[in-house]
Amino acid sequence: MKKAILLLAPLLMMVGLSANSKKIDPKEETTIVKTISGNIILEGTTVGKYAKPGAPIDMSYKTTKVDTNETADVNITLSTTASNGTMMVAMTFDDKLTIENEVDQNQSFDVSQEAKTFFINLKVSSSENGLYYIRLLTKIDKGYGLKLRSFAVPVYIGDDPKPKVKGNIQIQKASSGENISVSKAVETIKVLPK
Amino acid sequence: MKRLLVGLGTALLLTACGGGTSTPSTGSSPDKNTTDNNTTTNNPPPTKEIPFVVCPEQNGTGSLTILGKIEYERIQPQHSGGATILDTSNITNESAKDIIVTAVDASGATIASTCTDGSGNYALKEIPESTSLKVRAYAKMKNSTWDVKVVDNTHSDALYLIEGSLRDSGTTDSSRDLKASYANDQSAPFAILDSVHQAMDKVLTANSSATFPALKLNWSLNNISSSTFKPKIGQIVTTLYSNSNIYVLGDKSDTDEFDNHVIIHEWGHYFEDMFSRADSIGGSHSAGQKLDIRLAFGEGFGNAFSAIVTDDPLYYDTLQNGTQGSNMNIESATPYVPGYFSEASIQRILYDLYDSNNDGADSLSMGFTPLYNTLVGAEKTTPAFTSIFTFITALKNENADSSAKIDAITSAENISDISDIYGTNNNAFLYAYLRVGDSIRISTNTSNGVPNKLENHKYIRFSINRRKSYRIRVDSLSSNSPDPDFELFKTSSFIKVGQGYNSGTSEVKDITLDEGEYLLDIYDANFKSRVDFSVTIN
Repeated sequence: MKKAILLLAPLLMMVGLSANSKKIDPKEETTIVKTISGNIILEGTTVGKYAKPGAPIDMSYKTTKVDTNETADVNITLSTTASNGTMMVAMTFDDKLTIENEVDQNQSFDVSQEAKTFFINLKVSSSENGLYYIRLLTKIDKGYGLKLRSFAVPVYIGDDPKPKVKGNIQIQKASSGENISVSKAVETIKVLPK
Repeated sequence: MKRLLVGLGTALLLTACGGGTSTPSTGSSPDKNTTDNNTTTNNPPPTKEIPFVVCPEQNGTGSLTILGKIEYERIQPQHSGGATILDTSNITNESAKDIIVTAVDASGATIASTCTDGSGNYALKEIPESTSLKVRAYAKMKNSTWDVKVVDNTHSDALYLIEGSLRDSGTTDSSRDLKASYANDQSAPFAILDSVHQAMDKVLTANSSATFPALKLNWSLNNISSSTFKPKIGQIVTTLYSNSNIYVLGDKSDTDEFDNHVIIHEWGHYFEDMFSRADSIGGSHSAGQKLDIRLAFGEGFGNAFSAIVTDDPLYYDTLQNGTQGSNMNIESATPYVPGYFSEASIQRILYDLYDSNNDGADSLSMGFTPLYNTLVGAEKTTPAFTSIFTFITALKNENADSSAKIDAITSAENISDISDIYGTNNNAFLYAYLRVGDSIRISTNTSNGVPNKLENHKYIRFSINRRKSYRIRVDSLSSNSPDPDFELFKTSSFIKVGQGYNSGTSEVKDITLDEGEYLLDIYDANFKSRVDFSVTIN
């Protein structure tokens, strides 16, 4: 499967997905961006990517990149190679990401030979610049045990959106010049007898 | 584990720290809540003692010693049927083994350095008196045998460490114990390192002189299951191994830092990369699917390896606190669509070959060493694509006395006795042999799914007797608009030497080939349901 997608938007980037490679070693990627009817569309897929053991489910998405207080369309496609069972999806949204349409955050789909692809359409917005995530926890029970897989759909809001960085991080330089992430330990000190 | 400490220009000091393989406590406790199907068994075969490990030690310029212990908090799993959660009411203190510990002054300059032993104990020597200093414990293990560290890929690859307070060293020896707490998000790097330590220990039981190429583990609270790979902002796709790096999920939606089996599974891919060989084509996969034989073996091996290292056949993958994750029993899960294409079958076979629990068709307890020897020997150089066929053929050749028992184990997984590396007894149509100058007809199909499933790819062997330019041509014989592509490997050193990726119903490539044996991997890039191809080499 060969893909080279040329991008037309001001955020022009080129992505080459090497799903042909014997070992699909991930390379640093840039998000696929297209401009359709003036809208900047970002898309991604887990198809062909490495996956740890889990449910046989792949996720693809298309989202519109919008400014603050504008509504982004988020179209999610979940596909499975299972031929039966029930696929359950639980969605959670980053703080400060507002859901604009009525959507059941917990959904289930009946999987069959004819029905293996399912769609979830969302509309979200935020009043603050940033890179936000919609998290999906998918489960499928095929009769030999419950299998899970988690996904995250990025939603870009505003100019130069950056992810909300978590953690109480203090980055310093060691005497060697190496970057170090320092945190205070729980410490017990004792003076030893002479 | 005995450890030989060598100071710079100082006397030799031998320290005994206890024997046996160090093991983080990871849910093998007998009071774990499990059903019969998920009862773990702990019947490890005898192991060799871990050899000496040389720790780079630097003493100070004084006369004091600062002793101590470095620990980290580990959340234990709680299992119930096929579900596993991280039980935050069961947090244990675990030793941080063989990690680097330093004493630094107020400016951060190193005064002395050493490593912890197998129990997390350290001794910083010749510390100057009345000096303001603090102790640092790094998420890093580096010595003559290994070089492993855990960094934050979302903050310039900063190396994780915990430190104590800046305090005066006084005039007598003292102890400073440090603990990485879970509540402060400190313990994850040390938990991840401990999993890797356990895996390396297992390899050392099979080969005491093994040395491990540098490995960087990347973890961050921001590491999330994305569809793009952008590690600088935490988008790592999933916990995976790639090019001497392991990336570990840390976002609350799916944390993997305490999932011992998940991390060791990925370390198994590092092992394949550095010590053995794996031709897996990757992609998503799941038990119950009929996978490409290369993928099936690679993933089955990873799962089995995690159970072998931990001596715990219950592979589990947890999510955020309180949310149910899942588990699978490597040994006792009911076979579902068993066969040479099933990662579940392969993990059961490999674990049964290893363990000392004789169950069902398994009456073998080979331990890890014979499996290791096959993986780093014949499997590494096999002229066929790596699969259960190549592994078992080699294992039987090297352990002829156990052949019948090995066959019994594979037979229980619906695999006919493996007699060659191409699996001829099991699927005569996966590999074909083509004489140069002739043509051959092969078929691919998508009856088992796409794009990495059984029969999506077919393999053609051929021999070259004279170095010159050859034309490899793959023509579609089907009318459903397939797009044949191929990859070409020279099998003597098993290296990719060519490919054909053009669009269209034919793929034609002129390639100069040396004398030797070759393998063509042919597939339909459009993944039509069934396609016939004609292949010629002239």
